[in-house]
Amino acid sequence: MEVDSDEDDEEEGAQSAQPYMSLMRSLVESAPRNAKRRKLDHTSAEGQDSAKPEAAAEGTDDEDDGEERDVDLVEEPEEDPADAAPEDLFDEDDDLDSSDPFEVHFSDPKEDELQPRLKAIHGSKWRLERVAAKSTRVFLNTPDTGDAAGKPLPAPVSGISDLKLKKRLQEVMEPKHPKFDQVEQTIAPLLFNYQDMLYCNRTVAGSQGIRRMASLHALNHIFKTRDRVVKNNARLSRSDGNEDLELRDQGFTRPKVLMLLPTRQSCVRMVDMIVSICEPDQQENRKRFEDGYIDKQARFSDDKPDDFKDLFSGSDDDMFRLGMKFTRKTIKYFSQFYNSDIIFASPLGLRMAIGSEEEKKLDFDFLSSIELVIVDQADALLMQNWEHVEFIFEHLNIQPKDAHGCDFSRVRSWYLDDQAKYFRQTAIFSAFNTPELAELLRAHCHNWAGKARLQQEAAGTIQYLPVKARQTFSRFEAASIAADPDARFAYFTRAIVPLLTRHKARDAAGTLIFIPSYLDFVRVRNYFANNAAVEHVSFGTISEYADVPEASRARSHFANGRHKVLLYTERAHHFRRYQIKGVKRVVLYGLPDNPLFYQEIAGGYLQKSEQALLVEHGQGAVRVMFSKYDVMKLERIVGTARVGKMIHDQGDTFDFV
Amino acid sequence: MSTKRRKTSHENGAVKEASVQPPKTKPTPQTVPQPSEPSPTPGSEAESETMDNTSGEGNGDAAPKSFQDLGIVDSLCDACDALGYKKPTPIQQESIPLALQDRDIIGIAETGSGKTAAFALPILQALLEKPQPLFALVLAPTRELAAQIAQAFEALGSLISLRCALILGGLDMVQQAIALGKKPHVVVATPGRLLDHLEKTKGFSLRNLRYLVMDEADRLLDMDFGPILEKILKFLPRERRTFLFSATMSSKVESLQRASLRDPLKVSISSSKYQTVSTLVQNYIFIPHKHKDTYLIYLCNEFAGQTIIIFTRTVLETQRVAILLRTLGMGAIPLHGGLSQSARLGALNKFRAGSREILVATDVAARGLDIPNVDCVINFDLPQDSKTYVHRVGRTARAGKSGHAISIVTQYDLEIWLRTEAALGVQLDEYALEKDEVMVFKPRVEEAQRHAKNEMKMLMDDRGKKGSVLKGGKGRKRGPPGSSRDNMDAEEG
Repeated sequence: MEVDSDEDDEEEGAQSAQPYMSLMRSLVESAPRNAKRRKLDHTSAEGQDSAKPEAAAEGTDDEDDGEERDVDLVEEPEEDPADAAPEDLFDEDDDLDSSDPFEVHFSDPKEDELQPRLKAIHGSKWRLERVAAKSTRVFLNTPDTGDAAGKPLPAPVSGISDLKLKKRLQEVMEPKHPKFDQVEQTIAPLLFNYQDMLYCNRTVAGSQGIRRMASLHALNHIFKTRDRVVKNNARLSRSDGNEDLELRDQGFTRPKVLMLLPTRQSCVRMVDMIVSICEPDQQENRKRFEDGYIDKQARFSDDKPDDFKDLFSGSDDDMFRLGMKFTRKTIKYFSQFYNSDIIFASPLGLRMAIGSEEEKKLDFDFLSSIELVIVDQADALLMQNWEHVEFIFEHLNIQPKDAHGCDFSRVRSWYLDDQAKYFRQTAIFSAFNTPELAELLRAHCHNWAGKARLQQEAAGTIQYLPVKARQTFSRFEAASIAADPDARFAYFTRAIVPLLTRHKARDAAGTLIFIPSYLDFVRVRNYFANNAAVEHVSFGTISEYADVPEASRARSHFANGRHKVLLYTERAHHFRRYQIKGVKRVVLYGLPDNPLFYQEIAGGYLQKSEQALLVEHGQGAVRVMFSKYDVMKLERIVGTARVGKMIHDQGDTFDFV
Repeated sequence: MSTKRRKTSHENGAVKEASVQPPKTKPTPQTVPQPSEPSPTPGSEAESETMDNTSGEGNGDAAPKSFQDLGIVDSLCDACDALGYKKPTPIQQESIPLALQDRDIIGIAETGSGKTAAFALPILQALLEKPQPLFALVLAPTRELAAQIAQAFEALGSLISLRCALILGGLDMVQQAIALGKKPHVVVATPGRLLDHLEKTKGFSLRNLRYLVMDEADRLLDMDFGPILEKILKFLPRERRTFLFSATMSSKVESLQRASLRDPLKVSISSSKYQTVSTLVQNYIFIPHKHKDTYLIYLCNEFAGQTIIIFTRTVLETQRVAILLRTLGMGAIPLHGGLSQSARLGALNKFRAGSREILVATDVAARGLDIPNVDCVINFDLPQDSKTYVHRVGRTARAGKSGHAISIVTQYDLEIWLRTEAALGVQLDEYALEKDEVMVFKPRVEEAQRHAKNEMKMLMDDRGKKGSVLKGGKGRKRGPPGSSRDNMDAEEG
């Protein structure tokens, strides 16, 4: 990818809050091979698609087949929401239980509790409490109504019997999984009490527990809602319309649950969990689902880390959307969105389904009545285009433009009053916290029941490196978050570059420069390409946009010493997890979000070099640049105990040997 | 919602004190001021039509009453006080007691005489007695008038937590469906859009409706709205009260049949069929057609500093006259059906707020609009019928204030003018002016005419383009019949 030198100047000039935006735009324009172009218009591919859906399943590598087919296309009319048959009841017995969180939160919230809270949310008044809970820290944010006593944490949940579940779900789950494990016990109380949560310690091992809780909660919510609607339909038809029944039990549209997931494989896992919990007699379109979503090819060698295999094995396509509809006995895959109960989608897939602004065909009415959003593997979504996630959250719970056959006399009054966003529950599961997630929770989660962040204390990874190395952390000052990239670059050229160039760059060989942001990467690459100060330093690059041969070439040139320096981005590492050879020194231009990457890059690469006798034992060096805006990343890497000192201390250089 | 209900039902105590204990369904003849035919045949309705005015004249000079005396409960009296309604107007005095006795009413009263409160108060009182969602429906022929009625309801109902929904053409259907989904007590609507909702919006039904009001009823019952109204009536329960109000009333029996009134009482508060207020001074000028513009400018100059509405016959004439006036440095703003809805509202607001002194309008503005303090109405083109004349001049001299109406009559309009005079039952005086003084304006007017002609040409060329003043292409298309229903209330004229 060639970039003219004048773009460098352009970027220096940009002083806005997003200093790289103009640069990025110019890059996008000049780069012929930018990210995969997805087709916005699904209709042209319709015909062939529905005819042979299996043909599209192999289209995982869509770079070369020009006409991409849409596996997820659904052609189905919208159903009339009124014609739900009474036999669709999930449970026959259904006594109203006023302590059921479903009643308390959605059906019949107590006005005297609700109104002050809504008022507090309107005034952005939140009260933060730190609650020590078993094995984790809970940061609970509740609407501040001014009364002294905060709402206590919901009662602990140790197993199925502690939950108010639909009888049918209870009957299935009780024999299968009566007791919850550690992770499940941590998230269940908040989740089943309809509170928003950001869970920051998702691990591969705990992922099934998270899926189990999320699926169980989603099904419980859907079944309860559906049963209520079906029962009230029956009551209304019995009453002949003579009585003035006031039955408000639904939203504008049918979809109640939205699950944002990174890949088709992650969708398969969630769907399989749902199937195992609700044990349907029939699964409509299951074959089509398997063809489109399941990819059994093993593609990774054993040396890839577990979390990488967990995320990318199977179909790693990050563009999908799937509607799922429940009746008493069946699950239907690929139901039309407006007939669906759950929508599974990747951010990209859903963004495409909403449509493009240019075509003025935006349709997001199906998001108007979402009452539960599950965002699983948010750390992986951060590596995709996060703007899509923000876009989706901006379009949740907006009153519809079209009626879609909605019976407005049945719509819950808080929907009519445009308060749906204060009732929606959002649950985000991530391996770690990031500013983006915190902002999502702040800006888009207004649940009147409050929101909580669950985060364990970080032990840090510096002491667990597989190799003994000198780790130097240097803090630089940045006046504001917007000034951070410029300050970082200035510090890099002032403090790091001289180390590379002294003695005519003799010592530079084997230096890996890890750069989290692609925009920073472009800046540093241009610097190495054009600046006289580093003209003796040969360098190669691996970014997420490099194709495989290009990356292999860069790796081998670096390993055999032809290139002294290698620039490597965080996304490249996220998507490829290369084992790079010949690393003698690691410079972290910024810290990775994922603490595992620190271990792999700072530790793993040097360890490999030691084994290859490239570096003497204990002589590998790691140099880290950070500012106070990196506090979240830093905490995970150096540990909660050290982070405060490193951010606030007088001295700005910290050595760990 | 439940809390609001509870609030309204607290007022019930007051209702009982008011000592109005109307018979539930059947009218009892002895409580009614004049005889009425109980049989609901068309013939009898026709007769009730002829039994005009008796009530109005009979009680006309009784001592002025207060709202309490009419049987209005205290909470609503407080609302009237808060709005500055001190004493009931004649139409209110006559119709409110009857309405409280649970009778169908045909109310004829001059414009600006407080008709809106005359039907709103009894409805609100009945609502207090037995709170119920979707209690009353008020139909009005134009969007502006409907909006104004809704405002009046909201103002009167503010103390009793009234929920009122406004249903108009040209606005978002779903938002209105949501408003209806909240089950308001009162729906104020224009007929076309209301029918759309009755046919398409699920969960919206008026089968428990108790009160139907048609304001400007003769316009609603005429040929344009007739078929729509018939369809709407099919959605309404037979067991209900119906009020018809207008300044003029068509005497066609079939129209009344359409409204399906039951044994109605007619309340009319002045003797003439075509009523204008006594505080209104009406004149005409008889001039040659070619000097029309010059005389208009002269008149505007005479009334400079006062607010004036000038009525013309066509959209283009409206636009031209406005340009003419502006060229001569007068603050004029056009209002006609060729403008978008937002431009229409904007024009009206500018005029209301006083930032423009002269409103040049087609008959869009003739009916129902309550613009306080219009000092003068000038009929630049004479109205085609005397009813419209009454409505036009009714824009001034409202609510007891004085006003002036001047009609420009040319040699071609003589016949229409004589007909109008005959209908009014009075011979009007010619407005006194010196022809020489008028002709002083002539050279400047001629220059302005040329300028206006050029501007009009440019406007016509722009027509239909984005951002143009006039909407639509040449030869205005009204689309297929289905879609035109929604725009009926836009009143293109």
